[in-house]
Amino acid sequence: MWLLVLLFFSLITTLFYYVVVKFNPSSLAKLALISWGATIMFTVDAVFAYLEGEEPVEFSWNALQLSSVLIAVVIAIWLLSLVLFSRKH
Amino acid sequence: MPVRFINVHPSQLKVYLVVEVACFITPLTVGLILAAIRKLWRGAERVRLDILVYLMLGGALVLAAEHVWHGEVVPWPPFLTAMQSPEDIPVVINEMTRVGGTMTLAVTGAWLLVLGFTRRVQVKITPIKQLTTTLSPTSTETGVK
Repeated sequence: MWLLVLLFFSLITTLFYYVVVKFNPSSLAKLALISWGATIMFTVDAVFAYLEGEEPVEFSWNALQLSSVLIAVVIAIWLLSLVLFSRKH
Repeated sequence: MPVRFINVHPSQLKVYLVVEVACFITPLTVGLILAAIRKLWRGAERVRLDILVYLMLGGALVLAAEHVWHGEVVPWPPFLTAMQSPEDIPVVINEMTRVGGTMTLAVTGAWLLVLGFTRRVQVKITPIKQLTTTLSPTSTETGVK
């Protein structure tokens, strides 16, 4: 489930990057890149899980909780990168 | 239906577990190496290495968070629950190369696609340069006889 949530989040951030001009586009690009990186890796993980006979996408309350935690982690990494970047310059 | 009991000593049992606990290590290591290269190499901006670093490190850290959630990564040595015994190390290394390597290759492929797309767009947008001449005006144009 978290794969689908991350994919949706990546699409939304990419759309924001192209549509919203008022916000600093380079910082939005970082958010989109982090979420796309995670989406690609979770896709590979799901493909391997499927090939090994596991369920690639799990729908449960636990999966929903993990999805929200992962989105929070993506945003935290993005904010951290923004803070580190602004400190350097 | 009669129930059959199989008498097997525990030492004879071999349990093969498909563990996916270390796949994030490969992209994380590659991402850290790329971040170091990006700082040291001046040509990194030309090939947009920053995009690859963000894809690789960001994705690997989120994947690590998922492993922490599932209790596969712990804050005490050896940090991976799959590495409790030395026998498990080959399994972990196999997974690092197989799943982690595929993840690294997939992210690198995505970066190459982005680079190719960006270059194609830039070629389309770049305006045609206006032709200029360096010839000096002739004597007839200037009116000098």
